[in-house]
Amino acid sequence: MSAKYNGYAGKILYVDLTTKTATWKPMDGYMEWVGGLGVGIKILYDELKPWVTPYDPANVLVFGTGPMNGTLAPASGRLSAHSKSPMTFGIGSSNAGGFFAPELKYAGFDHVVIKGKADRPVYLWINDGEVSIKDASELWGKTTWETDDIIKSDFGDPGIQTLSIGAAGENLVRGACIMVNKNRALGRCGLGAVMGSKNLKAIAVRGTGSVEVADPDRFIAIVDKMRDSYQESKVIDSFKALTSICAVPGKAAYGGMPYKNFQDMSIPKEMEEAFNPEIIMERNRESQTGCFACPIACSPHYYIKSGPYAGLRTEGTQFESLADFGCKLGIADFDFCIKATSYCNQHGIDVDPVAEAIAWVMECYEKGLISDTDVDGLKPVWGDAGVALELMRKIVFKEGIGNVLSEGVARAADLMGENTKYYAMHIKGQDLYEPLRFSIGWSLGTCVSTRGGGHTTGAPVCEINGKIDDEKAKQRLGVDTYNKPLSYEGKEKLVKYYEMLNRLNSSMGICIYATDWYDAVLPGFSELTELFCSATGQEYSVADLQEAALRMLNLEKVFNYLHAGFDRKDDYPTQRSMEEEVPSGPVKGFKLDKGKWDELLDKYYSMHGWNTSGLPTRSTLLSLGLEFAADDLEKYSTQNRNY
Amino acid sequence: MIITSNNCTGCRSCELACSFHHKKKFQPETSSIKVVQKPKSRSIEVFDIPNGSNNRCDKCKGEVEVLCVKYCNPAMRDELERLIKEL
Repeated sequence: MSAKYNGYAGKILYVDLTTKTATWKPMDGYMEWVGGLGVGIKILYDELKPWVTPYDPANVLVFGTGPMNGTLAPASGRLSAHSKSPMTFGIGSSNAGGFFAPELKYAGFDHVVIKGKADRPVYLWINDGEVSIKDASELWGKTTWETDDIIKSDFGDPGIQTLSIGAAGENLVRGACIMVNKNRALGRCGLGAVMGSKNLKAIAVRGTGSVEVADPDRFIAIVDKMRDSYQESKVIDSFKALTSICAVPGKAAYGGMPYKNFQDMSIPKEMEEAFNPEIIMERNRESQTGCFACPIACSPHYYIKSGPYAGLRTEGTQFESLADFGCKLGIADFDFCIKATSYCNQHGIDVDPVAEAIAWVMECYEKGLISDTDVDGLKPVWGDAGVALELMRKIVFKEGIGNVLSEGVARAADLMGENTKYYAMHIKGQDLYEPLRFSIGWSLGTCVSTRGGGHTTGAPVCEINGKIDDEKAKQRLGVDTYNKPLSYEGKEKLVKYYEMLNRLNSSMGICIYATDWYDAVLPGFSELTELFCSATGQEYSVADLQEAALRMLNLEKVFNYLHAGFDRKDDYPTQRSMEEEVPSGPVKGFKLDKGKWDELLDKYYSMHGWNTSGLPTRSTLLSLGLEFAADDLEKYSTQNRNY
Repeated sequence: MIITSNNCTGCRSCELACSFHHKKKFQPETSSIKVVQKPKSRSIEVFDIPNGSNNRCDKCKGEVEVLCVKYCNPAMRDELERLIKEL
């Protein structure tokens, strides 16, 4: 391998499913985009014209690794994926852990770009640089768990890593995800439906090659320093002991729960007790594992011993599932959350749109806006686990009301009636999981996120993280109000910090939990820069990599405007968050203020060098080397994008 | 030699560290240790003779410490150390 590709495999694989051909090109021309997310969105921008729709064969689906995948860099198992999103028609961007990303590097490729559409179900087999498109007629209709087992068994090699879709992706459910191995998800943005639209059931990869770094001793020194930092963090201690559901007491204390479709921000005492993390771990956890090269290992393996789901054994069910299936639907039963999560994983659908669609139905039913006959005779009342599971099944298989709900809650409300729209919680057309009326920086990061909601591309968690090291947080973030969740002051700066950090995470292949997104004593920009330089041999400063991250964000903004027409009007919280005061609990009486939100948006746009419509100015794009994007923005700005 | 453990997190850092000892690059296929995920636990195999592309474990000759143990999670470290010593 040439030294210029240190840290990389050096190759991008292009697969055309229409012509059943596979070719590769060197990474040259894309390396300034770092890897993973950065390279992925640049490929998307290069390959897609605004008039392409998500299920067109012309849409492309990009899977990307970064220069850390395959090395001993901590928590370096992350894989990124990008496509035009069926949910928003803008940037579809997702990220998952597991073991696929390093295996792809060992097989000789940094990125895989899927184009076209197969004339029958196929799967892609990548084996040490050799690529074949194989018949998947026997796999079509199988769950993701079965698909993973069958492929490994057929080749007789447990070292194979897989991506696959389930029935949701096959049936073009807009919220379909792509499962990595069995229980990690490229969750948001409906990328599983894009895969289904291409008749691509799975990708299997096996590689025996290596990843080399430019300066091994320097690289190991920073790896060791990073690993030591995880021993110093109280936040990580709690995360390791209790997984992400360690957040339950804190979120309950601050009022950050999406109770009954976000009607309230706090949960009843009996629900908080049912979701006590220590009791859940004692009752259900058999063991805990980690993704590739992860010293934290946050993934619980659960077993349900008794009750209606007895015998279920599965990996996963993190805080998001608890908030979605427990709090949002008013079901105070963690076993149900495990069951619902495993159903979603097996059938390849993201937990967020499923939970939001069901919560919306339950609230509309409560308000008398829909009747039994609208939902196939079901009685969708809060807290009914049986109805929730039946609605889930209907969504995955597009049966009856499932046909409507499978479109995502924004489109479902369009179909069901004007008066149901207020209760459809989404950002830019994508179903919302994030509670908003309790934390301003978090809300800003969620609402301006280019992929349509989501808290992993700029939303800070430090505002309500009581265990964080105060001195270090102030020093790193430069925002004294970082831990004042209801203050609007300085929150645009917090969001910019994490917009850059999280983009570097997802471009290098490092989990965001392993960096100072999660705790100020954890590795930040300087450690990521040292990792990058020692691995690749390129001498970048912290400022260089931050600029690279801003280049990505600005290109995403231009993509979103060209493809979906997104601008300022799409950066607001849900109507409920601005109109209804929180009815009870720690943030009782609070709501987001439209005027203050506008002031915050103005400051946020101005800080980024964007105009008051939220679009990058020509001079900002030129300063980032994005002249082509500035030209495109001018060329297409007057055209109608409602294809 | 193979052991099965519930304390192993399956992260494969040991494989990476081992291949780095042998080759100064990251290539699990050349490692002297192999971790396989089982339904309820992980199996950890250490090769005391060469096994295909897997190198023989030399107990990290020339290193300050045994690297697979160094990069193992604290709950598993003692079990792994015993396994290496027993080779």
